[in-house]
Parts: sequence; C-alpha cells; structure tokens
Amino acid sequence: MRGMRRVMCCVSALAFTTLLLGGAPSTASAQDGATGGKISGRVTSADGNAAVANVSVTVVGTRLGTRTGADGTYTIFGVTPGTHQLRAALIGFAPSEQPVNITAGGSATANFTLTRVATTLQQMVVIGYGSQRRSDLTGAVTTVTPHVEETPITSIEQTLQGAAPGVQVTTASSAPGGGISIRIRGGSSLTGNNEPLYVIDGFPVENDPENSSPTDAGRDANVTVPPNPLAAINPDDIQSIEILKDASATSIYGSRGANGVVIITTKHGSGSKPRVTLDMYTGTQSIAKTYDLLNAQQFAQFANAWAQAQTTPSTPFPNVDTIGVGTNWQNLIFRRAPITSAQLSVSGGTSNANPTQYSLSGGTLQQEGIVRGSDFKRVSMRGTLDQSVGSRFRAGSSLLVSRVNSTMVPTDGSFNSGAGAVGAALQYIPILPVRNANGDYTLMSTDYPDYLASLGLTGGNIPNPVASALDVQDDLGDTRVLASANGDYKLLPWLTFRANVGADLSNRTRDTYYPRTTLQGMALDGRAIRGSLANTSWLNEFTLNLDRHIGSSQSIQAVAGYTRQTFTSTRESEANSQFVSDITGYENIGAGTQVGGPTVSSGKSRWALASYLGRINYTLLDRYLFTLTGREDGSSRFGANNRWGFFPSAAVGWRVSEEPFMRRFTAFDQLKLRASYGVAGNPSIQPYQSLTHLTPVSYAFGGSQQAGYIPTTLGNANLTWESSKQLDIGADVGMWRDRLNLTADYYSKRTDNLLLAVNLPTESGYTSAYENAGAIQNRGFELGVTLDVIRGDTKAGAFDWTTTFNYARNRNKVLDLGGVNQIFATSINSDIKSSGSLVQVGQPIGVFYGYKTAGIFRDSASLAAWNAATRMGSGSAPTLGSERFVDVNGDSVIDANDRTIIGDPNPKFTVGWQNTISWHGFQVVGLFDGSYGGQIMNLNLYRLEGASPNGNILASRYYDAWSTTNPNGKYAKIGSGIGFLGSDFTSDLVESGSYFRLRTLTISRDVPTQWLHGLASTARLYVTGQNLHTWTSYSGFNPDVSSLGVSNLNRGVDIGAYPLARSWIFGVNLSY
Amino acid sequence: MTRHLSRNGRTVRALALATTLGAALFAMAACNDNKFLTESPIDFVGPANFYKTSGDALAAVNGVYASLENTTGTNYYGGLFVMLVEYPTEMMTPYLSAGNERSLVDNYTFTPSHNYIYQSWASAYAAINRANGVIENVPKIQMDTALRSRVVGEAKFLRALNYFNLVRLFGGVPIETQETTGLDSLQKPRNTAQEVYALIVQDLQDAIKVLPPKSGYGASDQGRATRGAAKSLLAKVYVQRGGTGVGDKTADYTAALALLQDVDKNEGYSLVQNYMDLFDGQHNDNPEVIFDIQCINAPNLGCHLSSQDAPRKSNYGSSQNGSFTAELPFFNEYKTTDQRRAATWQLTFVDKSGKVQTWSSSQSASGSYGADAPYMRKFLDSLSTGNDARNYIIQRYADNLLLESEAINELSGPTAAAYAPINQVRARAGIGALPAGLNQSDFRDSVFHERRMELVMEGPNGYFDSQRNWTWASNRIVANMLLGASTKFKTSKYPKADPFAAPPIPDKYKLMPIPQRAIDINPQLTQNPGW
Repeated sequence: MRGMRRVMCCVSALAFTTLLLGGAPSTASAQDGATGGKISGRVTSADGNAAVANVSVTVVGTRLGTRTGADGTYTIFGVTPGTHQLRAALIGFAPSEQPVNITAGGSATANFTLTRVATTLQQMVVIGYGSQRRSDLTGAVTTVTPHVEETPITSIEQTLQGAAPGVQVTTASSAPGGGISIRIRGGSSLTGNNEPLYVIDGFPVENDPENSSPTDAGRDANVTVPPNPLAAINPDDIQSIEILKDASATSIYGSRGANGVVIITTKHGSGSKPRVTLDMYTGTQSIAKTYDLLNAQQFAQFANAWAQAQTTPSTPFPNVDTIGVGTNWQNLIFRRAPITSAQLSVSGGTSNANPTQYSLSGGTLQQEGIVRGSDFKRVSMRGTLDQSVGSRFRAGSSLLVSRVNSTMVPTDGSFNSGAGAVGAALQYIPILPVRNANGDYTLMSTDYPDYLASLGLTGGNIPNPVASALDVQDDLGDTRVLASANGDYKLLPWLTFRANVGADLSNRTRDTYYPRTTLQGMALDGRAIRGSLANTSWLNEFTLNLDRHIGSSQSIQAVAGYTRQTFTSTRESEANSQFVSDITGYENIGAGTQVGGPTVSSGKSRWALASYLGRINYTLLDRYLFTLTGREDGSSRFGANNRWGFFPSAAVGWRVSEEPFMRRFTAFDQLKLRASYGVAGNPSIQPYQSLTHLTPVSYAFGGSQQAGYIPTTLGNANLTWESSKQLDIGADVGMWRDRLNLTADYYSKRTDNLLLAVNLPTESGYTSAYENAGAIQNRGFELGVTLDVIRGDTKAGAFDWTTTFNYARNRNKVLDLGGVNQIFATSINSDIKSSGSLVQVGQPIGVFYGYKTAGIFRDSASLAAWNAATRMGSGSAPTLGSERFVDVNGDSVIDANDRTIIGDPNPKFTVGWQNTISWHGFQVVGLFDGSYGGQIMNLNLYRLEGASPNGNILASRYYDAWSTTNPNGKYAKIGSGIGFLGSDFTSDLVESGSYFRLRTLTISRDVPTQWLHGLASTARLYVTGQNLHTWTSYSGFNPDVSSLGVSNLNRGVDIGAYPLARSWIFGVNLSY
Repeated sequence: MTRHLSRNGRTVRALALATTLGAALFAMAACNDNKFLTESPIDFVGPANFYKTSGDALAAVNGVYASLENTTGTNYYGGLFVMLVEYPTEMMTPYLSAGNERSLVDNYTFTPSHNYIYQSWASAYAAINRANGVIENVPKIQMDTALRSRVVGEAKFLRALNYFNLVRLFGGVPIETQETTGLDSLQKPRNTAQEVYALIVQDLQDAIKVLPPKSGYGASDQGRATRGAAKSLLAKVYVQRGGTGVGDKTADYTAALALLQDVDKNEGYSLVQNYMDLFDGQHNDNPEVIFDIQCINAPNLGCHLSSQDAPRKSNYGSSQNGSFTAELPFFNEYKTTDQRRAATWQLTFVDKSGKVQTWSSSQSASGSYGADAPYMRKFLDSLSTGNDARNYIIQRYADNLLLESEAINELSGPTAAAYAPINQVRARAGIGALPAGLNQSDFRDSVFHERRMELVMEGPNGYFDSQRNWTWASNRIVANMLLGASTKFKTSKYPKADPFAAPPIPDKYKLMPIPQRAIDINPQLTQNPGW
C-alpha cells in the first residue's frame, strides 16, 4: 500500500513535469510573431509623485505585459503595430488606461499617474502557496487589515475580534498575554484542537494552547488558562491577515485545514526612499465591572439571619452596628494599570538593476494587569531583506526575534485551596482583615471566627487573595525566533521554482514560587516549580508556480509542491519544597529540603509531516472560474495503517457581472457566485497517542523504594485524522463603484472520524481512550457588508462615513458519538466533581447538564402539592422558600435521572460593526461586537449565592432572599442552598451570555503638516477607549469568558476569571 | 529567426531543468517519507518492549501494589474508600456541615452520584486491570520459575483483595480477568455476587499454593503478599460470604475456621504486647501485621490519611482536616484502663501556638480542642508533608482472632473455644475477659463490638462488619443519630433527615449503589435494589 503510494507520487510528479514540457512547444511558438514595437514609461503616484513599483502594465487584449521596477519604470517589447489600450493596475490604486499608438519596430512612451483607492476587487489575496486577485477567488476568504496604529492591540487574535464574519473570538483569559481562542465556522472537534492553523509568512504554526502544563512551562489546569503562544508576535509588524474558511481554500493545507487557516503576512520593505515611522501609545486600564458583595456589617447581618434560621436560633453578631465595612477584597486586588508601547521602523529599498528592499523594526510593550501582580512585557525585533538578482532570481529572508516576560497571577481556579486570587477575593469574608495582629496574612479556614465555627460552620480553605496576588511568584518567559529564507527562480516568465526554508524556535520557561506566606506554600515551607519547554520546528518547501494565459480567453495558475515539516519538543521541570527561607524563591531549586530530594522530570516528543500538494486555477473568458486543489499528507502522529490521507477540493465561480447581458446593469462592479466542496483534516491529537503508554511508579517495600510500571494510556493503532467535508455556496457583490461590497456565504460542514477521548467503562481499568468515533455538523450563514454611507474626499476634509457590518450564525450539532449517546466532560476540578457539560447526540457541543429548577416555593399550598406528588432522592424534603426542583422524567423522585440539559454555551449568532467617520483630519472609529444566544455557567454563583456564611455572598442574595416578609424575593431563603444538588449543578447557575459591546472607540486627528515644521512628514494623534460599554445581562465580570480554557468541552464556564479591563489609551504616529 | 531558435532553446533547457529538478526532488522525498514518518517512543515505555525480563515482571506487580495508594492518591485506601466504609458506622463522624461530601456518607444521605463511591469503584478496577496484566503476561516470560509463580501469586492476591472490596461494597460486579488491550466490547453486565466470590476464592487458593511465608521474604520485600496473608484474607472472605448470606453459612464458616487455625499453627503471627506499637511507625516489621500498605515519607511513596486525622487546630503535617472525630457515645465505651483508648484517639495534641491541648468532656467545637469528641489517632504522622510514613493496616492477627471467635460462635455457639481468641485480644488491651455465659446472640454482638473497639479505622472494616450483623449495627447507628438530633453537642453525628424518622436504616443501605457515573458510561450495569 505504501509502496503503491510512493510509485503514484513519483508518477504524478513526472506527469506534472511532462505536462509542462508538453505545453512548452506551443508556448514557445506563441512567442513568435513579427518584430513588434516597444512601449516604455514610468508610473507615479498621484500623492507625492513617488515612483510606484510592481504595477502591472498590460496591453489590453493581448498577453503582453510586465511590472514596473522599483523606480517605477517599465518596458514592454514585441507589441504588434497599431493602437492599443494600455492598462496600469496595482492593488490599492485605481487602475488607469490610455491608448498608445505603436508602429512596427517603433517605440512609444506612456506614463501613468495612479490614484490611491481602497478597492476590494483588485486586491491580491494570499491564499496559501500563492496569491490571487479577489475578483478571481472561488473560495471563502476574508481579509483583515489590522490598523494597529489606529486601534492599539497587544496580540494578533485581537485583530480578528468582531472583524470577520464566521470568526468567533473568545477570551479565555483577559489577563495580559492571556489565552484567546478562535473558532472559524464553529467547533468541529470535541477533544482535539479547534484553533485554526496559523501560517506566518508561509510557515505553518499549530497553535494548541491546551497542550501544555506548568511543568511544560504552560498551563496550570487549576488556576490559570493557557498562556497565549502567539503573544510573542507584535501585531504592529503585520501587513494583512487572510482567513481561509471553506474547503476550497483550506484543503491546500490538507490534514491541518479543517479548523480554517489564518494566513499572516508581515510587512516588507517597499519604495526606494527610506521611510521611518514611530508609533507610540500609553494608557491606563481599570476593571470594567465588579461584583456587588456584602461588606462586613452586612455579612454580620447575614450570619445573624442564618443563625436565626437554624434549629437552635442564635445571634453570633449581637452588636452589628459597631461593625464597619470591613475589607473589600475586590478593591485590594484590582488596580488601575498602565500600558505603554513604542515601535520604530525603517523601510525602503534601492532602485537599480538589482533592487533591494528592506524593513527593520523594533518595538516594546509594557502592560500591567488590572489584577495586582500581573504584567506583560514584550520586546520584539524584526528584519526583512529582499534582493533581486537580475530579473530571474530573487532571494528573500525574514527574521523575527521576540522576548516576552510576563508575570501571572493565579486567577481562574477552583473553590477551595485551588482558588485563584479573583475567586478567593469573591469568597473571602469581609470581616477578616488582610493581616492578623502579628503581621501574618489571615486565612479563612484558621481565622474563621469562633462564634461562627461554634455553629458548626467552617470557613472555606481558600487562599488569602492579597497573598495570592502579591506573594506568589509566577514568571513566564518566552523567547521566539521565526526565520525564513526563500529563493524564487523564474525558469520561464510564467514558471517559477521556489524553495523555502524556515524555522520556528521557541523557548518557554515558567518559574513559580509559593512562599510560606501563601496557602500553597505554607504547609510545605515554600514550594518552587520550574518548567521549561523548547520547541523546534523546521520547514522545507519546494514549489513550482505556473501562471499562464492561453490565448486571450483562458488563463491558468497552478502550483505543485512538496513540503516537509518536523516539530520537536523537549521539556524539563524541577520542583522542590521545604525551603529554609523564601529569599531565594525559585532561583535556587537546590535550597529546598524536600524529603527524597527535588522532583525532576523531562521528556521529548516529535512529529513529522510530509506532503504533496497541488492546485490549478483555470479562468475562462474572465468569468468562469474553476479551482482544483489536493494535498496528500503523511503524519507521524497516527498508526502506520492510517498514516496517509488525501484531501481534495473543487470550486467553481461565475462572474455574472462580466456576462454581456449584465452590461445594462451598470450599478454592479461585480456579481460573482461561488460554490465549493472538499475535504480537510484535523490531526487533533498529540504525538504518540496511538501507542499504549506504561508509566513508572514506585512502591516502598520494607521502607525501600522499588520501581514499578503501570499502563496509563490505552493505545489505539487505528487512530486517524478527523476529516471535515464542507460545502460552501457564496456570492460576492460590489456595487456603485466600490461603494457597497457584500459577501454572503452559506456553508455546511460535516466532520467525521472525530477523535474522542471516549469515557471507557471504568471496569476496563481505564477511564478513557482515544477513538475515531462520531460526527459533528456545523451549518451556518455569514454576511459581510461594507458601505460607504457618505463618500467624501477626505483629503479635502469632506465628511466621510464608512460602515462595515458582519453577521454570522452557526448551528452546531453532534450527529454521532460512535455508539454512545452522550459523553460527559471531565469533572470540573477537585472541588467540583460534576462534569458540568456533556456532549449528546442531537445537541450542540458542550451543553450544560444538571438539574432544572423552577423558582422557589412561595406558598404552603404549592409546597404541599409538590410534596404530595414528589420527593427528593436524597431524603430531605423541601420547605417554604427553598428551591423547587423539576421532576424531569416524571417518576416522582428527584434523582440523577432528572439531570437534563440546562444550557448551551454556543451563541446563536455573532455580529461585528465598525464605523469610520472622517472630517477635516479628524477620524472616529468605533468597533462594536456582539454575541447572542450563548449561555454561561457562572460557577462563581455556586458560592456567591451560597446558603451559609462560610464565605461571602452577593449583596442581592442576602437582601433579596425569600422570607415571609419578602415573599417575592428572587433567591431561596437564607440557609437554603442554591445552584447544586449532590455534586451536580442546577439551572440557577446558567446565565445568558449575550452581549453587545463597544469594543473600541478611537478619535484621531492628523496634525496639519504646517504645524510639524519639518520634524515629521506626517503626524497623527489619537485617543482610544477600549471596552467602554457592554450591554449584557450577565452578572459576572465579562460575558466573553471561558475559564476552563478553550476546549470544546467545559466551554463557557466562569470560575474566578480574570476580569475584563476598560482602558483609555493616548497615542501618536509619526512618519518621516 | 536565430533569435527565435535561441529563445526556443532556452525554453526547452529551462523546462528540462525543471523536469529534472522536480522529478529528482519528488523521487527523493517519496522514497524517504516512511522512515521520516515512523513514530517511535522517545521518553516512555511502550508495551512492545515490556514483559521481557524478570525485572519487568517485578515492576509490573509492584505497579499493582502501587495502585492501592500511590497511584490513586486519596481516592482509595488513601482516604475516600476508608471514609466510605468507616463513616457509615456509629464510631466516627467528619463533623462537617450537612451538605459536605463526607457528611453525606456519614448521614446516609449519599446518592449514586457520590464521588467516593465512584472513586472506590474505579480504583479497584484499575488495580484489577494491572493485576490481570501480570497474571496474563508474566507466565510467558523466560525467568526463574519460583519467582515467576510468586509474582503471579502476588497479583492474584491483589486481584482477590480488590474484587473483595467491590463485592462487599456493591454485591455482584462485572468480572474482568483479561487485561484491557483494545476498545472493543468493554461494556459488560454485572456478574452475581456468588460468581465474584468464586473468583476471589479461586485466586486466593492459587495464591496460597505459590506465595512464600513471611519469613520467605527478605527485609526489602516486606509488605509483599505472603501465604499467611492469602490464607487470612481467604478466611475473611469466607466469613463475609457466609455472614451476609451470599454463601452457605455453615460451609463458609467451617472453611474460614480451618484457615484461621491453619494460620495460627503455621504462619507464626502473634499479638504485639503494646497496642500502640502497631501505629507508631517504629515497629513496622512486627509479628501482628498480616498485610498492610507500605509507606514512607517521600514523594509518591507515602500514605494519605494523616492529614485527615490531624486536628484542625494542630500543627501536625501539611494540612489539618480533622476529618475523623469519634462519636461521643462510642468513645465513651472505651474504659479508661483500655490501652486502645489513648492509642486510637488523640486525647492530646500540640496546637499551632505550641500549646498542648487536652480532650475533656467539656470540650466543644468552639473550644481550644476544636471538637466535641477526640480526633482519630491511628495512622497520624505528625511529621507528614503529605506523604505519611505510616503503613495502613489491612489485616492483622487480632482481626483473625476475632474472626475465629465469630466463626466458632456461628458454628457451635459461645463455647470456651469461642471465648479464647476474643479474650486474648481483650487481655492485650487490658480490659479483662468477656463475661462468661453469654448466649449466642449476645456473644455475637460482643465480638462485633470488640471488632469496632479494636479495629476502628483499619481494614477498613466498619461498614463491612455491619453487613454481617445488620440489626445490631443499625440500632447503634440510629441511636447515635437520635441522640445527635436531640442533644447536638453530646454527639457529633448530625441530626439525620427523613429516612431515620422511623428506624431502622432501610435495607437498601446494606449495599452501596452502583456509581451513577459507571452506569452513565456502561448502561449494561443495573442499579442495586432501592437505589
């Protein structure tokens, strides 16, 4: 089978080259003809008269054409005599045409002056192993141009927030440098990675934020969401971002295309004159929203109310009036935090026979987090150099080096000892001070007041929030080098061979120290963990690119290539405890005196991918477009039997607007219908998952340690890719000279062979194993509209208003789970044994699961009626003012069989809306985004709506509790639990996560040139507000949340999430 | 014309070059792909290179021992399983609020979703799968045959112990005797309790044939299953089967008695003189212990009960949960002369400020001692850093003696022979002989009472003993609960909700429910009656 494939590959390679050869003679003869004339000229820009390079100058109706050099000049030879229409075109400029008369053997001059315009149709779109005019696209591709200088952002993914239809951006953590999750057209994998493939200047980067643990210098499942691996890249270096969504576009990335592909193109040099830009901003961030909790006096009243409701009523706080407001823990851990950034860049080139283009940039970002103790610093440097040698050879290289240092604060987490600073601040009782009289931090479990303890209450064993925020040292360092070198050799004017070699090297460290002042370090006399992870990825790529016209009515663009990529990861970690002193922190791991010495571990893994790829775009009469794409991928991550997979796709496009019958409809610049169908894959799992693992353990016989091995992972040799088949039908409409652009797509994506960590019957000795089982469907509709509502010449200071709106709805449905009807998520954490979420056939992914409640018992009649018909499986009987559980299965008992689906984290639709208004050098940009219909399981309420004063609660939980005097109270009576039954949740914890947010509002002003006195050629000042207002009914910090990380299970859960910051930023852009 | 030719020639040459380049690259690549893509483990051991040597055989069986404690943390013998068996008695309470997971067990308010039930189920089956791996694969290894049989015998002993835990908790459970190697047909229905017991008996009989006596192991192999341990465990299995009506009562008690007498005569166990020696960590290799979990204070090698023992206000160990406090009426049953009173219960401890706190009957939760009744002392390691150096005792000779008295009484009534073993245990405790002339029923209750006093926290035995003398145990539990309801601070047992408004404890509690999570995953499992 494998031999067969090898032969096939060789044969197809030969066939491809033979095809080229076979095509050659006719090509060559096509070059024949009478000696023609010569047209030459220069192309300049209307603004500033500068030379414009790379302009395509063509003789209309012929194949003749060329591109301008760096000095803007061009020459076309062999033009047949007569009068021709000559056309000059370049993305970003209005195309220009003029007639030229040429005689046999003569020469003529035609100069062009191009005017800059933002035209969408002519835009070149990067589509993976090549680029295409937007008007020729057959796939669903969205381009996002980040205007970092207009709206400061700190990470790439933020650029996409609200910017493109079908791209859902979820903030897993709002911490500086925190994880952001992206879903393109919904989640298509349950347990595997759902993040798109990032291709940075041609280098594919798999971003799997879930695949790390603190000992790998990554995520700590209990207290933090994953750090953001792309945070190392400075968004200011990005030229454009292309998002490939349908199968036609993504199948060129084969086994890694199923989640969509984000192609990032960085800035390269252009022009000839050095251009220097300086972008700087500084600002301040503060918490956007806090919880309204009880203060000390209110808490005492609550405790009294609770004690009065007990069998033996008492009053633990007899003198409530003398108790002040106590400690506001939220105020103590949140702060106003500064952010500053500066980026200097120089770019330019030389214009001669062997032109050079270069760009250099360096930037810094310093951001403090709004939770005390957290910050993020990045220094990045970037350089590109492109050198042409004659007209045939061109070499390019780019190098990006960045260093991130960030300090984390444990925020998200569980309830008890695992709680982070934020979770702890919410639960910590306000009557305790930060420190005891002796200067030590208070601890709720030991310093819990005796007069409450005597009532049988115990204070939760949660960390002191201030100690967590200030004393835990948790430092993350990430050094990343992305380097690539490529060479293009024009074998023929229409055939280019390209070799590309790239490397992505990263070295991440995470060093943590819990001093003895913290709960985690107290019992162990200090605890240190150091982890490091070094990743090395190499890429080799060889492609042949063909770009030919056949006659005047057909054109072909094709690419064929072979690529290999390897990824090697090594990790090390060491941990120790029992430190004599906290002074050395994590820096001297040997200073710990842990019995048995420090815990050390190391590991290494590798994967490799080999691929054959090809694509043909064929255009007939400039209106019928056909694309065929295929990629054969071999991956080491799967068993030998299923190592190779083929991912084909096909697409057609019809530019209706080019049809003769459409000429009457002059309003249309473009009307194109598209359809595509194809397959892409998702490797989803980590290396070695197909193999059974044995893990070393030991046992102490007679006090002496002896080694043992236990099987820990059940292997499955048949594992293979998840494969997504996708149908896309779309339309692109451009009207009224680019005034309105509209793109609409309907898609239906079915993912089969889901890689599932299927829960196994525990009787097998295993809890789960990976299997290819089941299917998921995502269907949706996307709409993107750009409209120049009022089109004014901004140069002249006229009023101009452009609005961009996008809408996306996605319906996600689990079709099959390989024989089982439902799969439970793993339990949420050590305190919360419930799964919280499950995946069930017929339902969207990751719905919430638990008991349904229907308000509270407000009158004896309804209580009696309920009691007559129903009883609680636990034996306890409900009372007036307690929660009313719904007997879902109608068997008169409230027990595990009444658990049902109580919520859905998947939004029904998402929108983004951007408005840009310019007037007299002022510009206002407002970006809104919103999400409707998704729900959040707010586990903070599990405690904040608690029954008893063993932790703080919401003010409204106390003041609006049901009682005989407050019969319409929203909450159950004081002392009656809310939100859980046994270890499962109830629908009380599920809230609407719908929101509409003014994400950024920027007001900028171009400084008039005369004010600059030559200090700069252009200058712009701006002020930006971020997250200024959120319209939502969600009670937590931020409805855009996913505390348990970005996996598709346990999505949309909020436990002490890092809160959202509202920021005001002032910035300046200067250029010389 | 020449120009055309030359252009043409250049084209041809370029294409030839492209062809050659392309073909060469593709051929080169295709021919190396498979080597390039082969995945072989770098940093772990896979099954392909295991079960080859005697070292592998030992490593595999050591892994089964580790599943009792080291690889399950607090999920099994390290906490949850012990709590699940000990709390539902009248001996101890977690003294936590009513909704706490531990209180749910203590108060008979747990549901099939209770985590301790699931974890005990899962931990036992994980150990069983590992034992199955040894029993299946080790016989194929070329190695010393005596060692090979011993390793297989150890695995059978451990498999039997785990099935014994399952059958006592749940009744009939699915029988797995093959190592899980694939994902096919893993959902199996429950076997009957009789079938599970038959497998346990068979495994232990096989183990008795091949395991060495205690003296057959060197010092660094102490803690491995011995012949005496296999015989003693089998005796206990017979007693449980006969005593709960699953097996033929007379036949089972007869078989048990024969084994106990065999152990008496041939295995060399005896009571240590000082009861406290069993738990002080200084006398691990004593002649009384028959089988225990061996622990030292080192990462992943320690036991885990100490932090549950440690009084909340003490400075013992890494955390202080105070999860095991006596139920006052039970504690009051210890005579002051009973040396087990101070060895079992922490009458004093050192608090965080270094002061010695002493239990007295006037103490309460809000006082300086921090509880209404004394904290458990067995397996407390005040120096623990999360890894206790206290072996957890599963069976010891005193347990055998009490089983012997029980067996004789069931077979032939309270004869002198029945009195002798229990009085040996009482004499060591310093409380004198059992009153003579008891009838069979009173004698039975006395033996069970003695088991409570002697073995609390060990084994674990509490709930399993209750299953054999349900009415007696139930009455005691209900009495404590009622007492707790009327006078809260005289017993720390919380007032029980409805099911006990009218004692006795409902019969469904004679078995634990099958874990809801297990049923959710394997719908072939049926729930126990009443749940």
